[in-house]
Amino acid sequence: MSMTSQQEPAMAVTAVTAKAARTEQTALEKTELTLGFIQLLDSAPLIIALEQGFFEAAGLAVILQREVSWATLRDKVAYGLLDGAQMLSPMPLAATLGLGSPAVAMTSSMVLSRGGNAITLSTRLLAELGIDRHMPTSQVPAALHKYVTTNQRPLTFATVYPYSCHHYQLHAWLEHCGIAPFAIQVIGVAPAMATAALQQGVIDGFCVGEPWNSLAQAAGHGRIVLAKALPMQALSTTEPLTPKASLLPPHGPAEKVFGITSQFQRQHPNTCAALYQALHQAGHWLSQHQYQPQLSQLLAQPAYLDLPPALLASFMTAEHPSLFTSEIPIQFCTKQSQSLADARWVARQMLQLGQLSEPVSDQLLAQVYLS
Amino acid sequence: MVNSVAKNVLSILLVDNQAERAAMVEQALQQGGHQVICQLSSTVSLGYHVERIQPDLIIIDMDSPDRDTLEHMTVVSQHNPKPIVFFANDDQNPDVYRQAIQAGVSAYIVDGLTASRVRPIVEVAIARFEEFQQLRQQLQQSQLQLQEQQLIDQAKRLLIKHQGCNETQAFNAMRKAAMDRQVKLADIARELLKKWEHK
Repeated sequence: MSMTSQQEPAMAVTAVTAKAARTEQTALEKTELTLGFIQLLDSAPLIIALEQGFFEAAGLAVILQREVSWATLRDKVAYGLLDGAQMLSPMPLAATLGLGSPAVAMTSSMVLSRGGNAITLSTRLLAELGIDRHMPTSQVPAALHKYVTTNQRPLTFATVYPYSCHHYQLHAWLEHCGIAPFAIQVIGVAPAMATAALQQGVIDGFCVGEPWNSLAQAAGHGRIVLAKALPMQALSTTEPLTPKASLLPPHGPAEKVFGITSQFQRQHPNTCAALYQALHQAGHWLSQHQYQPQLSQLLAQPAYLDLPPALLASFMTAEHPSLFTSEIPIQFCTKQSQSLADARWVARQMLQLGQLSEPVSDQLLAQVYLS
Repeated sequence: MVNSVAKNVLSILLVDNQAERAAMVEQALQQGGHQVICQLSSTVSLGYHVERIQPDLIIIDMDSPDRDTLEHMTVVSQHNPKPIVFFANDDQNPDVYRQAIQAGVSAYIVDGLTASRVRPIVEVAIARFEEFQQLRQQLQQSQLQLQEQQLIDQAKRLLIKHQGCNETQAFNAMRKAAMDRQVKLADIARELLKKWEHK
């Protein structure tokens, strides 16, 4: 073997350079990674970290793999088919507790983004509510309440996943509208399927992440009735567990986090640090370059959001010059920003919707979200 | 009253948009004496189908977006008389689930069905999914081989034409270049074709 490598000067040189690079990067435990994401605008930090070479600069060779469902993304991370992934913020806690799946300890100390969700109602339902497009959406809650309490046709709304901010936000909004729990059927629909479901009349409204609200509205299938300031406090004000627990994180709850198994984190601390560094750089880059028209072209590519670039570009208008400050703003994170307040908010929503039967200790929350 | 959990024939809802693969799984499960209902296209009304059919077991392609609809049902159905749960915990065979993910199979069962009853069915599905994967890989492989053979033949003809050599000489020259540089014969052919393309 040593003979062969001596006869191959080119190969030997490559090996030496690779070795030097490894030492330089404080020994990354793993350099080739496959990371999962879902067809959503807030997957941008992963896409940008790859496209702008932030992963590469951190010594990581990353393959991004798009998944069609949150359930499959979770399973692939849990069983090591993905090294890590963009996740819904409640997901690592649900997986750790074994809610709806076998318990696999997961952790996510990194918030990728906040905001980006909205509630959209179908054109058909709005017509039935007597809300035309010139009327303000502030009239929707009262009209919906009246509709539901006067025994009109039964309604079905969708959220993307049972353990998601969307699910909690939709329920908070229904409560805000004065609608009793279970008066409206709530089902789960994967983000990319939501617009079609709204168009086909399978659902009457949804709470989904961008770009699916804007796309549904642009296509005339529905109208965004709640974008900014989702009434997340509605749930937090009743039955406070402790005075502190009812506090909402100052910039709204963590929406997407970067999730990995606890085992992966234990075995690859340097790789994880390199990953977080690259993703924070991407967040920073996004805050600086969000006004560039090329950005929509980049994200629209078939491997990523797989949408007509012009459609995504149409989000950028004189009024909303950035892809992320449209009607539904998304804030990307540029530093480690997971806090106990975020974790407590998630645990609290789970408890209030009956997804948990007893409170989760701060110790466990810290283990999942702050380690 | 016949308890559906205790009955011998299980009804299985199969959700898979690969018609060919679904047929393979369906046939194998029917041979095992089970009643199979296929859902070939993706549908958000899956919840409705599940409630109507009341299957004992749902086998679903991991790459189907409908999984999230089912996941939601597992939470909602906790209060229903026949709750649906995600099937993965099998104490005797913990590797079954990892193998299932690799093959692209996931399953949801009616709570109360024992792992020993479900495992053989899931294993049949995994085996058929794997078989389908292999068939597809073989097909891709043979298509690639055919393509490479065509490239080699084309390059050989160019060599004969431009270098005035015979077929054996052309082939040997290409083979030697491939061996010297430790690349595939098809790669040499591709290079030659690229080179002569511009002349």
